[in-house]
Amino acid sequence: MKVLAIDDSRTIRELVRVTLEREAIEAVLAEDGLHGLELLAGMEDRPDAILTDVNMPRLDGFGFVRKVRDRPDCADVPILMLTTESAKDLKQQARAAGATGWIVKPFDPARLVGALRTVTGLT
Amino acid sequence: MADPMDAIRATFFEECAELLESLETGLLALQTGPRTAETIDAVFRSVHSIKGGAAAFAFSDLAAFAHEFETALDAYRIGQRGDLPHGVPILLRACDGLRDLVAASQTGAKATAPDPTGLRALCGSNEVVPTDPRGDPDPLPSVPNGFPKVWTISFEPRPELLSSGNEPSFLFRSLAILGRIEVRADAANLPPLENVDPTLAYLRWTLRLWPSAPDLTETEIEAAFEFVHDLCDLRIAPGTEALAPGRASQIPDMGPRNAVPDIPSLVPTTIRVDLARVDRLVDLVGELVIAQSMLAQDMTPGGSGGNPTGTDRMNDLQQLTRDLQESVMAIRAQPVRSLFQRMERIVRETAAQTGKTVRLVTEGVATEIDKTVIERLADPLTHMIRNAIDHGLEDPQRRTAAGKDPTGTVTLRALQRSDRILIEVSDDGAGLDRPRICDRAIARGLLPPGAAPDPAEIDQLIFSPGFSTASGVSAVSGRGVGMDVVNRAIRDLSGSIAIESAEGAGCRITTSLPLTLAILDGMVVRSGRERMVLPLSTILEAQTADLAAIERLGTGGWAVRLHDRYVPLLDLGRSMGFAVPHERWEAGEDSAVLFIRVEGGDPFALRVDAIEAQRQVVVKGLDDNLGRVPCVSAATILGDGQIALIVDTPAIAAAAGLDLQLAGAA
Repeated sequence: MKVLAIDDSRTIRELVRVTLEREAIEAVLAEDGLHGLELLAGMEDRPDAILTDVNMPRLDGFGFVRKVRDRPDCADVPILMLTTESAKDLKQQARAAGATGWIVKPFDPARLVGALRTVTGLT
Repeated sequence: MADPMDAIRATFFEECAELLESLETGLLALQTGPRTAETIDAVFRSVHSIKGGAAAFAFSDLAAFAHEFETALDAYRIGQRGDLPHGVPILLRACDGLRDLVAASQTGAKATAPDPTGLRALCGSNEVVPTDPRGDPDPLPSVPNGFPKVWTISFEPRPELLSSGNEPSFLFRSLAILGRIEVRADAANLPPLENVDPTLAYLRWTLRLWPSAPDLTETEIEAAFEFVHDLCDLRIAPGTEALAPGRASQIPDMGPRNAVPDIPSLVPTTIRVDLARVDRLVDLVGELVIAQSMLAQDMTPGGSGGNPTGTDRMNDLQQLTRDLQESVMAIRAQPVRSLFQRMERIVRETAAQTGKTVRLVTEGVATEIDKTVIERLADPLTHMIRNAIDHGLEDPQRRTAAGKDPTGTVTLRALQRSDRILIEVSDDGAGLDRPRICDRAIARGLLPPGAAPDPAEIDQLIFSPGFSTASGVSAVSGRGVGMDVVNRAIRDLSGSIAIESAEGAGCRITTSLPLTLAILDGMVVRSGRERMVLPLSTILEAQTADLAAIERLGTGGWAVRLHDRYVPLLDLGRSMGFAVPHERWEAGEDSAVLFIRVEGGDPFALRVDAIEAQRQVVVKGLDDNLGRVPCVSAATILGDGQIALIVDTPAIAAAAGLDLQLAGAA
């Protein structure tokens, strides 16, 4: 499985990377939404799933998800949003933008991996 | 194998330091400059990121306080509050509190969580904000007695479910982890093929699940549908309901797919370099400089045989070496900005403790200086600033009475002057209280009773060990260190310190530091059989010794004329403790006189037997092996492979202090 993970916090990026790599999931890391789009554009095959933070400079998570959904080849790529809040309106915003689901930070590694497996159907 | 979590934890604290810096910068910008949405967002994100990382590592105090901070900032960010400036001092204090908590989390020390009342008042509510940043996990429903052997799940997606990137068959696959499942699709809503919109969901599903674990709960089943709750009608019931008509199918077992090996990604725009590696690089370049100078020496005395190609190559190598050296040094150079920014907090705290109002002005924050120097400068600078506020600045009433702005100004300024960096701490306070300094110095035995030193000498007294004018130990400056400790810290950095004071107008302390501690422009001189290196920056001028210009003083000291005045003359070899005859220059031997001036002192002269060369030398510390040697700051290796000592010129002046005074009195 190959996952594009986007978070402006280096700490969270590292946590995601270690969590995924322990499960032999390839992690491609981006620092913000725009960077994520750049990496996405440069990929030969689209990632199996995308993990993205909400609050980021330049292009936030919602904007990023909308942009990804606008790409025909990525219209149905599973996108999980990492949110610090579990506030309901945040979930609604995530949904409205086109997110597949959300994980509340700080995430439980097993749960993150489980969610990725759920949405990708991959092990 | 090292736990990768330790490395990430280290990353977290590094990141925290950066985030705290950008937080403080942002808050200060909000206080003084225009309030742009970008700045507020950046400030918010800094706190948000600290909170996220803190929660990940279960630093609960830190995460909780960051959460309070974030809540307060959020009120501004989403435009609930327009009056930010009055809140900035509270936010800055919260920033200080956050910094303390980060430090405590890093060291494992127990820190008192800062009082969040101010923050809560800022966001307009004093209600208790939930301090658990983990959000509000739903409590587990009580597990019913007697677990069902089979569950029936009715799953009716809304048409838009597919466009969220969710895929029903994947959901079923994750259900299949819980046990054996049977899936029936209800295609009643499926339109004729030509009318099918592939982005919409038309099928309804009924599933039966025979759990492999006997105690499976409804919540665990629901969890599989976590992301589609709002996109479907879901009913989960124990037992077998009548299944809707349709085709039943088993979900085929999906074998594990080959995982793609990891390929690191991400091209960073900045690099973070382990200091030890940079130090190694600096060492290597040092060796290169030595090799180059050896080569140069081999070639010069007719060795090159007038071979122009060889000379050209030599010049190229020289240029290359110089470039390489400069670029490597640049890796270690950092702007003083972050150091100066840290002082904002010192000013705030000291102002609060002393009840004075103080403005900090910083200049030249882009000036770059060696990283080690910056780190070791923080303490002395802190102390100088505390001193300036505590002792230098008057309280607002006295300032008003003196016709000054009641708000005192402390100015922190950095500038580069040739190969030195000057850091000035100045205040617009009352200036040094010289009569009081004299009294104190006499009381401490630093001056003989009845002495009447000139103002500059009085000012120097504050650098004397054990000197402090504060009659009691004040909470601010009296931390057991005086200006003598500051002085020593600066000297340890091969720096020097000078003070200027004007009564009623304030005081300025200038610290002069080398750009780098690794390479020095020096003059190679000989005294007796020893070769030594003098830092070029301290040499005013060099002359051939002119017997007519040298005077023997009655006290046994010597003086030499420098233009229109006499300055004390010392013999370098003797000052260093070598057994060299004192009266050599009387015998008319070839010798040279170097005029030296160190920061904050009068010029003096050093006699040497010969000046050999002027060149860059690589500083090799002696401290590790020999400890501190008087009058020697370090050593170097010369072009011929010989070791030469680098002379600590200020220390020579200090060691000869008595002689200087006698000479002056004679």
